[in-house]
Amino acid sequence: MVRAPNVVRPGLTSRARTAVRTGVALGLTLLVACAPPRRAEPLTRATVDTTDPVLATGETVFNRWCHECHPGGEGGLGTSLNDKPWPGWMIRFQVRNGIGAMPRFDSQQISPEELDALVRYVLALRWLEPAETRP
Amino acid sequence: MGDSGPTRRPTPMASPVQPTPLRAAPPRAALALVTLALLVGAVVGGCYGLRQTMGGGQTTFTPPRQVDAADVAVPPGYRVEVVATGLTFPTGIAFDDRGRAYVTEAGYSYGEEWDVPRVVRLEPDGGRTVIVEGDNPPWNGVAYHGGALYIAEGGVLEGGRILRVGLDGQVRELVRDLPSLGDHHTNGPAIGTDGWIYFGQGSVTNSGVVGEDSHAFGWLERFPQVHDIPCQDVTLAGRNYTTPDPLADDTGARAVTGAFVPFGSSTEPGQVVPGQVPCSGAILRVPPEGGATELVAWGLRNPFGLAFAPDGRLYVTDNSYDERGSRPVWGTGDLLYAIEPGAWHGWPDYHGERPLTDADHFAAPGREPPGFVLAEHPNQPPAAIARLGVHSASTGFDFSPGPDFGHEGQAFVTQFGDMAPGVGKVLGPVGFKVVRVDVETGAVHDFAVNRAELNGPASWVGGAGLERPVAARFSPDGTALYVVDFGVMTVDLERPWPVRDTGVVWRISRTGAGGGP
Repeated sequence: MVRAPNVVRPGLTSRARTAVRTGVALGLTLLVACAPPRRAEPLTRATVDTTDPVLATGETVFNRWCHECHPGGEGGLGTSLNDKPWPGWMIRFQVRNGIGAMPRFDSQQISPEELDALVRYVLALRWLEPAETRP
Repeated sequence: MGDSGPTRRPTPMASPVQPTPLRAAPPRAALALVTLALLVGAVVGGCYGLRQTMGGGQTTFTPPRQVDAADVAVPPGYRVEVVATGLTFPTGIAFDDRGRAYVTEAGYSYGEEWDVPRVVRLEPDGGRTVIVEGDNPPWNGVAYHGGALYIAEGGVLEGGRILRVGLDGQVRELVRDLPSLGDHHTNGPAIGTDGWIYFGQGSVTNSGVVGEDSHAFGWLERFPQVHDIPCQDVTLAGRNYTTPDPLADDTGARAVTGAFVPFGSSTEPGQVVPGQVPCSGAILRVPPEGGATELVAWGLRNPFGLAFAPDGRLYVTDNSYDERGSRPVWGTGDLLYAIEPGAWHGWPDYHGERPLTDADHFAAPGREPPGFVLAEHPNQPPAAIARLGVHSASTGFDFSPGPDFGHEGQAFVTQFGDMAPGVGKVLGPVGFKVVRVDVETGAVHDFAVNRAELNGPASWVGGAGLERPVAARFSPDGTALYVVDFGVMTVDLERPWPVRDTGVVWRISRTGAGGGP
């Protein structure tokens, strides 16, 4: 692969460019995170396969701790989860640390194994097709 | 990892040479990841503060309401039909021995809209027959048993009652003077396998303390001495709340109010409030011929829906706390309980089995944690069977009786939908649908919801589907679920705005014969 030479562009210092990039990234993140919430599970197409024991555990944990604020993964008191591109590690981080309005959930409430299952379940919710619209 | 692992700390006998740092500097990539996580977390978390509330009632509506069953999505194998339209504030449905449907029209709605409460029979030819009318609304629900209708009369003006109404319209009062003059009223009823009439009695307040929100509801000015009544003696923690006094002529006046006492009355630590029956925030029962009211369970907030499962156990939907008033409580979903007879179920100090002193969960952003108002608690409250959406207003429900409809033994729960911004802030409409609850696992799934990319009432998402489902009842033959839709209610910072003549009854049934999920 040919790499472009490391040129210094006029007008912006390296630090300024980093700031601009960070700002753009944050802006995009904000747009995604705060976008209107998608509806929960579709009814006429496939839903999460809870014959998979891990997903079944994830569903149980979700209903115990998450559904109240994110019903079925859609928005409610909290943001929607089913249309956000967060990777699994970021979901774990948020669950354990509860940044912002969301409370934190420790390992007494959600064990490490349950958290693994929960992350898989939340990702599966995201991969469902969007809800039905009017015919 | 525990403390028993090998230590890497230098001992006092170590070389006087400055020890080498034990951990290498974290790689740049790891630092970047952590920074990104913190930033994204802050942004995600910050959404709550950045965004305006987006409740399903925060919309505009121009009559008439359009109704089209094709705009309601249900799982494969089910279909939706429209049974009746043009009802005003319908709240309940019951069937007689001939399978004819009776619907209560409340005669009152939040927003202080008044009308005549009544029961109408939906005739097979599409006509309607008025069976009985009342004058002490709202009529919050109806059940049929032994040739008569039993009505839960909310009674915001004269106190709640349970009425027995013959199909000829003859009325007999079974219970009167129930404590329904506040926020929540007399609900249900449901007929037990013992033939007794079970009903829910809502609490007077959001979380035990009469406040400015009580004035906004409209009742504090009518009944300034009204407050919650415990079912058994309770000992108070002496926690009091200072608020502006909306009853005073002086706009700068302040009032100090404690729990279980009238507005403007403070309490002391150790003060005992005597219990009595009937009380507020409880499940009560009365014999079908009338008589003394008995306590079934207490410590509930607004037990709106009652139904007996096929195994004979009583289940109740409890509308949980709002973020309003002197003692706002944040983030508490509505609960579906299998009632434990005699038990205190936690209101006003717990949400299910969790204490409200868990400030990380229950303190509204920027507000003081609610804390305990009781010095002692009668028992550790039982856990709920299922947890439903915060502010979903999960109301009436019924259990699928068998394979003809499918999902036998599971609960089909109507969700009236949020009343934001009055009850607190939401980032998207909550409720406005029918959900299916597996009472064995607590799993909650959508069952009937508007066809749209977003969730919400038809007046919010567009189309001609569901508005505010409030009650559900299976037909006597077990083949169809009837869903009562209260109709359009928009909400703004001033008050709710219910719209007359917009109530609907929907019918959901299987498209094919035999074999259910």
